[in-house]
Amino acid sequence: MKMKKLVAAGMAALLTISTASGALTVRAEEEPVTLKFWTFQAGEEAAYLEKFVQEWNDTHDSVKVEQTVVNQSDYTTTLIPTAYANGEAPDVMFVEPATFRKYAEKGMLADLSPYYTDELKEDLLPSALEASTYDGKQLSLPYEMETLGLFYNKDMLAEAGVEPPKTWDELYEAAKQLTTDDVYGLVLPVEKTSYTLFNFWPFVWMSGADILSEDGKECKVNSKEMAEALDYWGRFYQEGLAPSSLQIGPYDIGNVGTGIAAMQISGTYVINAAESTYQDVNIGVVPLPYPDGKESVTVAGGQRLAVNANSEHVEEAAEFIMWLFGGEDITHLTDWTTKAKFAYPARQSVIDQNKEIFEEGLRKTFTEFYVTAVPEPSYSAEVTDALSDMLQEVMFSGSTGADAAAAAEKTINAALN
Amino acid sequence: MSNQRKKYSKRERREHFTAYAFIIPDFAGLLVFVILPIVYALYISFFKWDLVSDKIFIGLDNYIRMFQDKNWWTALLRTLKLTLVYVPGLFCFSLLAAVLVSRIKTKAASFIKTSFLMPFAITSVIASTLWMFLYNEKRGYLNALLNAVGIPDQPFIGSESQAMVSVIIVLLWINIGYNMILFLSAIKDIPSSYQEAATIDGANGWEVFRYITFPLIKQTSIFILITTTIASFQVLDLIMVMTKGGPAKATGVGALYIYDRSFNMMELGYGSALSVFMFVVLLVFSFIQLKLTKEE
Amino acid sequence: MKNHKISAICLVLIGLLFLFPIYILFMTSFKSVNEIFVVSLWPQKATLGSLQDALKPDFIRSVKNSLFVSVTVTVVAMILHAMCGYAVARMKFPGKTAIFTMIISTLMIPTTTILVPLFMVCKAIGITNSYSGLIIPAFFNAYGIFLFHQFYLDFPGELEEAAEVEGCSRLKMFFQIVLPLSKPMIVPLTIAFFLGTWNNYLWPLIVNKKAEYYTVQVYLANLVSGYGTPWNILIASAALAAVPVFILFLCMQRQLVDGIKATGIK
Repeated sequence: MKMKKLVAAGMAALLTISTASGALTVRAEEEPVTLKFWTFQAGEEAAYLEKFVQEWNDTHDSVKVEQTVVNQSDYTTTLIPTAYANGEAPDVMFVEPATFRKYAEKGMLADLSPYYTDELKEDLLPSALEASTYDGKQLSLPYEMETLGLFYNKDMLAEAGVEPPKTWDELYEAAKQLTTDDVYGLVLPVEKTSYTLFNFWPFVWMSGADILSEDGKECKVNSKEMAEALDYWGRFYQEGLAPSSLQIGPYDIGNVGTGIAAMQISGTYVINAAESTYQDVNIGVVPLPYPDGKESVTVAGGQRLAVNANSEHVEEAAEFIMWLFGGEDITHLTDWTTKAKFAYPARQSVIDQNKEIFEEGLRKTFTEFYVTAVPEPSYSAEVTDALSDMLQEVMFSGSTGADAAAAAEKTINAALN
Repeated sequence: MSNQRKKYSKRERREHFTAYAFIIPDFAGLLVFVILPIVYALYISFFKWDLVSDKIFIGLDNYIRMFQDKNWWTALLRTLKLTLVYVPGLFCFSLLAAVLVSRIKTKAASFIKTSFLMPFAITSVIASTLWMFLYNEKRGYLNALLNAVGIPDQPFIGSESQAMVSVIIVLLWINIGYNMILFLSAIKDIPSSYQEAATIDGANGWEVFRYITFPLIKQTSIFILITTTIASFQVLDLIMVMTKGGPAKATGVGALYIYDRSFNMMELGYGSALSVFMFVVLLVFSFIQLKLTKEE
Repeated sequence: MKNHKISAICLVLIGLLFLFPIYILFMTSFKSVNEIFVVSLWPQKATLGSLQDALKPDFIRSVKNSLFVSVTVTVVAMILHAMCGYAVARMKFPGKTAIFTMIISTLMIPTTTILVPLFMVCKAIGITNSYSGLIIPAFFNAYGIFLFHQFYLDFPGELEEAAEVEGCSRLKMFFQIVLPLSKPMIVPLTIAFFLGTWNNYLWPLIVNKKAEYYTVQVYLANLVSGYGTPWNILIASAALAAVPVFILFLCMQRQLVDGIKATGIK
């Protein structure tokens, strides 16, 4: 009886070993590494990403990329956090400046520094490189820069006899003149989202306000400059020149395209839609207006690629993103920033080789003020939340800029300590 | 106490066995897919957990923090406001509609039922898009109507004072039909002879309702009261797509605050503590509702 | 009688008001992209373009997935909850109050809070990224048990006694007598479960990342992209996605009128 059991156990052990080793050798040859890659882009952008992934899979046998398309609004809010909690997070993902710091602080992003070649570092715009660095490490790969401008309906402005505004006062006056029973003068974002904050940054910088001290330990929100910026921004909502609720997204050029508003702050990312979906509408763009005596400044946002720090295949994932947008061959990035969508490439070489494209139509204006772009800053979740609340206060609660800034400073100080 | 075992007859024991057999498939599933996750949520409410790093045990700290979190209490207060308007509104309107419809014997009855029920089929995302057509300030159908009778444009969901009511109207629009059908099913089960007898005795419509209909649909009433109260505490989807809690914080209800803390701020431990607290509040609410209806 | 007429007219008018947003949905899906945000009761230039663009293979697949998932969940949930609700309402057994309290209290925790642990459970039993992951957790919802329980509390006891006299077993009695007589509750619950599953968004979004199992709500959400949502296609897709549900309503319309008496037993 005992003997039989022993033999059986021995047989079982032998079998396991042989199948396991068999599996091992087979695996090395046949079972490629699979990288999970979550994307949220739609339309042309989605088509190009799919094409790139297909190209990678056709040319790489040992590492396959499995793309999953989800939607943008749930991407950073629910999907990524729940996936991390369950060890199901993608190997390769997108991060935006608004969430970059939060993810970096929690150690969610793998260090890509070893995979950055000297050529790449050289080629990347210094501000882009700087913005994707945390604690001295490159935690993401910047590839596109999206800047904001003031879009407007040329016909509406001409009809009202309004020149495209250059200064803050002119913007306010123009919005006032263009607002009718049927049309808003200016569309600005409404909801408490990072996009609203993204739009507000240039106004902060133009008025000379600060958020945190250099070392990040002291809050500098409560200032005369911040109060000015807030009062200016809030006035559009309080006086009904900008909508207090929107049916379509504040970034959607449909606001100007379908005649809901005469002017709208939006970014390079809507140029393709403005020139295709709304080609019959006469849409123009100018730099963001500046306060008297100051200069126009815009913000540069844009997605970046990152690798999950918990991934079992950090190296392969890093190789993939470098192949995609960080390699010597710049065809992908050129296609992405000129065909799939319009955005400024984060790499000088792509700009240099495609100068003529960046001079076409609405792009020309953006190219002219491109040098004034400051990278979108990244703050911790608490700071971002307090700043967003501060904006909502002046927009909808009738608070003065000074009161809202003081309240935000109190909250941020509490969070910093 | 535990050893005070009752002697059950064979028949009773057979009934127990059958009852358990009826319950077990459902209860086992609930245990695995609902109760276990709830217990886990209770467990992590004692931890500081950002969903990514290791959990850190912090005892009751999350609960202590909750009591000092002013934003949480104001959010909960907004939930309470929503509940106090939405629940009675839904209850009365759907009950009234059900009673009236039950007395209509013509084809109109089926049109009314179907048209009231239709909105129940629309998801939050689409409901929000549709109602934006109505609520739109400059190009909305509602303001077009108001202008026609001389009232100026209203901001609806764009104003701190009107946003909550605007959201509640959409909630009512979605849910009235379904609850009306529930009441109607209960009313239909009352033998018509009861009402006829009462009418012959000279009772008027209100008296028939008060003394015959209403007492006989008590179980359904309790059900609707409790489930809509619970639902009103958990309204999230619609607010997320319509207002994201705004303008300012006008529609920032408790459930949204929990969601925001758990995922946007990545503090699932704290978010769970808030949920556990809300769970206790609802338990007390439901208990009170049950007690009140029992005494009557 | 006159009163009834007045209330009928009022309710019909309110019913028309209720239908108005749905009318907008369908009317707008005949509008072209340039016209969708203009207030009008009829498209200036009606077009089938948006609807045609909406009918993509991926959309049709997502509708099929939603139908399969919703029908399965509804049928199974109905039987499970009817049995459970019946036992708790009509039978005597030790631990009844405790079990019932436990079941009802599960309704009181917000879904967002159990999202992460529920995913862990599903991952542990290996049903993520599959139909099972979409379907199985959706069966278990105390709402159904609660509603059946309330209904069976008022259920005429004579029926059971009569069946018992005839020597019917409980199981047989339940399926042959009780369940057919539960139609007044089965109808609204079918609507609630079917729609609850059909409209569920957060859970299918989290539990499944495979495009082949995307439900229609996840598909619709993916249509909304940051920079240039094709609003005409989104609205047309939403209108098309509502059609199966409205068909369900129309099929049930007759049932909605009937109570227990109409099923033939007095």
